[in-house]
Amino acid sequence: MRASPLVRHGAVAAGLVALSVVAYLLLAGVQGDRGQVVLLVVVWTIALTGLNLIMGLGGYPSLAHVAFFAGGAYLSAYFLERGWPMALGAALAVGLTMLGGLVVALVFSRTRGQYFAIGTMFCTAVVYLVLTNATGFTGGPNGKPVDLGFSMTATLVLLAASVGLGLGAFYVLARTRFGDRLRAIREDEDLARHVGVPTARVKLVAMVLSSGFGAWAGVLFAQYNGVIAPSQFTFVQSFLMLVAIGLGGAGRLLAPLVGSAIVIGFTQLIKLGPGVSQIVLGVLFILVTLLVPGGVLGGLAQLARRLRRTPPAAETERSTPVRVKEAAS
Amino acid sequence: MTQVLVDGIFLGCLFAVVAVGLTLVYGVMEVPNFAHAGIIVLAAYTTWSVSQAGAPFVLAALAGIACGGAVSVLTEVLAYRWIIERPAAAPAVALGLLLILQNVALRLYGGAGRSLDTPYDTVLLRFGGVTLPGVKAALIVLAVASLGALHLLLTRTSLGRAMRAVAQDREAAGMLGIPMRRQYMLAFLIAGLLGGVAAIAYAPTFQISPYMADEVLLSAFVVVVLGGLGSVWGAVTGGLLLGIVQGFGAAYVSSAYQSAFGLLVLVLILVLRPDGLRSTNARRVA
Amino acid sequence: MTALLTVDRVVKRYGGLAAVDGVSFTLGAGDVLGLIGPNGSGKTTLLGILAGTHDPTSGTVTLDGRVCSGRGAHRAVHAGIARTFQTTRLFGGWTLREALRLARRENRRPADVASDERIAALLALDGLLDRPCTSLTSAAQRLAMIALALATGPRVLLLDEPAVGMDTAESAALARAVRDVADDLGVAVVVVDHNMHFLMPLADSVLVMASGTVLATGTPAQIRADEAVIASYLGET
Repeated sequence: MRASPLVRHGAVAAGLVALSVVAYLLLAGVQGDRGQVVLLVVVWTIALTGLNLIMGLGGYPSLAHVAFFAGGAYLSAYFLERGWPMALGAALAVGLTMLGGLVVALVFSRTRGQYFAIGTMFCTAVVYLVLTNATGFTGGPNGKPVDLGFSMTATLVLLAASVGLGLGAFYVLARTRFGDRLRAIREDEDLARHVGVPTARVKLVAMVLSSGFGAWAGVLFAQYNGVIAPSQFTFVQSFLMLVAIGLGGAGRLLAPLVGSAIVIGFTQLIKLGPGVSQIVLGVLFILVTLLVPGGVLGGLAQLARRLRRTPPAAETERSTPVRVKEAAS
Repeated sequence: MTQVLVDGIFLGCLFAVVAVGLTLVYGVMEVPNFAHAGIIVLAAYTTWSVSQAGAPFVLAALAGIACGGAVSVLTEVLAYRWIIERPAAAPAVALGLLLILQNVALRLYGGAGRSLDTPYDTVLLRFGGVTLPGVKAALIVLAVASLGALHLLLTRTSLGRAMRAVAQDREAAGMLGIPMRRQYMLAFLIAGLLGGVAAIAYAPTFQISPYMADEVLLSAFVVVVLGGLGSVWGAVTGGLLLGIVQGFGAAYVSSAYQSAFGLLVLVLILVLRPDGLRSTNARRVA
Repeated sequence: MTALLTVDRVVKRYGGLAAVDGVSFTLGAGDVLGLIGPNGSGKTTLLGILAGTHDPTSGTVTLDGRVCSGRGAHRAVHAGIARTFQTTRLFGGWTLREALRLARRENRRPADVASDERIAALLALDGLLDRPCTSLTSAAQRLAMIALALATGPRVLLLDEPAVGMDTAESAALARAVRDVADDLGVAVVVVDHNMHFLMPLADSVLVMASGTVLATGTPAQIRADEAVIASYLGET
C-alpha cells in the first residue's frame, strides 16, 4: 500500500531537514582535504539541483551551468570589493546571473538536444575567456582572493540550509504542473507543444531558475573558499556537472547529492595519479548511460520495484524498461 | 588587410578539416562527436613522440594521422555503435569519450605544452606585402588536398555513394542492403584521419597539450551549424567564412577573444533563423 | 449554418516548391471531412498548417471567426485545434491518465472537456487509463493518441492516418469511435488516410488533393464517381 501524500511529503521534508543538519555538522567538523571534499559536495549539490531541473526533468543537457556558477562567484566578489553589503551583493550577483541565464535561454532554447549542448558549451568557453583575460575585473588566470562578507558561521549555515531548501524547492517544482510540462518536453517536445504546452516559455523559465541555483552556489563557494580562479570554472567542470547528474539519475530528487558525491569523491579523494580518476569517471559515465539510463538512483529504484512485486510485473511490463516519472523514490 | 585575410583562410582551413570530420559522423550516425577533440590531441602527441624518437617528420606525420583514424574507429566500435538506437544518449557518450581521451593524453604525456618541430619551420613565403609561414602554407595545401580526396571518394566511388545514401536515409539504405556497420566505421575512419591531418597542421603553430583542441572543436561545431549538419560543402564554406570572421575579429577587436567571435556568429544564426536549426538540410552529405 | 473552421487560400512554400498551393474549404461542427490524395500531394502539410505545426506562407485558418494560423502549435491547441501524428507518439512510460491530465491542464476552457472516463469510453480504452502507454497494444496506442488530443478539449480534431497498422476489425472500431466523437462531442474532424474502406463510409464529405491544390470536393459517392480523381489517384500511386 502507498502512504498518503501528506505522510510522504512530511517524510521528505523531515529527510531534507536531517540532510541539512548532517551537512552542517560535516562542514563544521571535517577539516583539511576532507573538509574541502565536503564543501565541494555541498556546493555542487546546490548548483546541480538547478541543473537537475533543465537537464533532469527537461532533458536539455546544459553545459553552461558552470558559467552561472562562475557568475555568482565572481560578481558577488566584485560587489564585495566595492564595499557593498554582502546580502545586497549576493542578491545582485544572483539576479545578474539569472539575467544572463535569460539571455542564454532566449537564444538557445530554440535549439534541440545536440545543438543546445554545443551552444551552451560555447557560453562556458566564452565565460572562461573573460575570466582569464578581463584581468581588471577577474584577477586574470591566477584568480583573486575573496573577502569574507558573511561570517564563517553564517556561510556554513547558509550552505547547509541551501542544500535542504534547494532540494525541497526541486521536490515541490517537480510535482507542480511546471514539472509535468518539463517531463513532457523531455519525452516528446513536439507532442508536448501539440497538447498545448508553451514549450519555449517553459524551457526559458527552467533555464533561468537553473541559473539562479548555479549562481547562489557560486556565491557561497566564493565565500567559503576565499579564493576564486578560472581553473575552477572550466569546460571540464561543466562536463563533470553533466556527468554527476547522469550518474546520479537525471530528474531524481537526490541525483545532485549522489552524483556530486561520486564525481567529487573520484576526483578529490582517490589519488590515482593525474588523469586516471577522470578516465575512470568517463568510463563509468558511458557504462551507466549505456546500461542503466536511470543512473544509480534509477537503477536502485528499479531493483527495489522488481524485488517488491515480482508476479504482476511480469504481465504488464514488457522488455522495454518503463521509465518512472516520479522524481523521488 | 590581405595579411589578415590570409591568416583567416589558414584558420578557416583548419576549421573546415575538423568540421568535415564532425559532419561526416553526424551525417551517418547523428552523433555530435565531442570526442573528436580528444582524437586530435592523441594524433598530435603520437606525431610528437615519433618525431622525438628521431624518425623523419613525414613518417611521424603519417603515424599521427594513422593514430587519429585508429582511435576514431575504436570509439565507434567500443561506444557509439551501442547507442545507434538511442540518439538522446549521444551527447553524454561523446562527452564521456572526450573525458577519457583527454585524460589518457594527460596521463601519458603530462600537462605541460610541447612544441612540434617541422622541416618547414624556417620557411617563410613572401608575396606582395603578405608573409605566410611555411607551416601555415603546408596546412592550406594539406587541407585542400585531403578535402579534395574526400570529395572524390564521396562522389566517384561506390563506397562514397553508399555513405551518402546512409546519410540521406538510414532506414532506406539499410533496406537496400548497404552494410551499415561498415559505413559507420568508414565515416569514423575518415573523420579520424582528417582529425590527424588537423593535428599535424595545428600542432606546429600552437602547442600540444591535452586541451589544445577544445576551442577548435567549438569553432568547428559553429561551422557545422553554419553549413548545416551533415553537409561537407557547407562545412568547407562555413569553415572559411568563420575563419575569416575570427581572423578579422582577432586583428581589429581583440585577439584574446578570438574564439568568442564564433559564439557571436552562432548567436546571429540562431536569432536570424527563427525556426532554429531543424530546418537546415540536416541529413545530407556532399 | 456558419462554418466552424474556415481555411482560406492557404499556401506553404519550401524554397521554390509549393507543398500546399491555395487550398480553401470550410467545415461545420460535427462534420467529418476525409482528406485524400496521392503521396506528396500536401495532405500532411495542410494538416500541419491547420494544427500550427507549420506557419503558412500565406492564407489564413479561422476558427469561429478568429484567425489561429501561424502562431505556433500550442496556441492552435488553446484556440481549439488538436492533431495526431502519422507515427505513434505518446509520452513514453506515462500512464494515459497522466498524459490526459497534462493535456487537460493546458486547456483554457476546462468546462468543454469530457472526463477521462468519457474519453476512454468513446475510444474503447476503458480500463486502460492507469497502464503505462508503452504497455498498450499498438492499436490501443493509436487510440490513446486520439484520447490525448481530445483531452485538450478541441473543437476541431485532425487525424493523420489514424488507421495505420490496424487490421479490419480495429479500423472499423476506430471509424465508429471517430463518428461518436463527432456526433457526441460536436467536434469537427479532418481525417487523412489511404485506406478507402475505412475512410469512405466514415466521411460526410471528401476533399481530394493533388500536387498541393484541391482536385475535387464532394460526398464520398460523388468522389467515387469522379473520373479526374480516379485518374489522378490510380495514375500516381
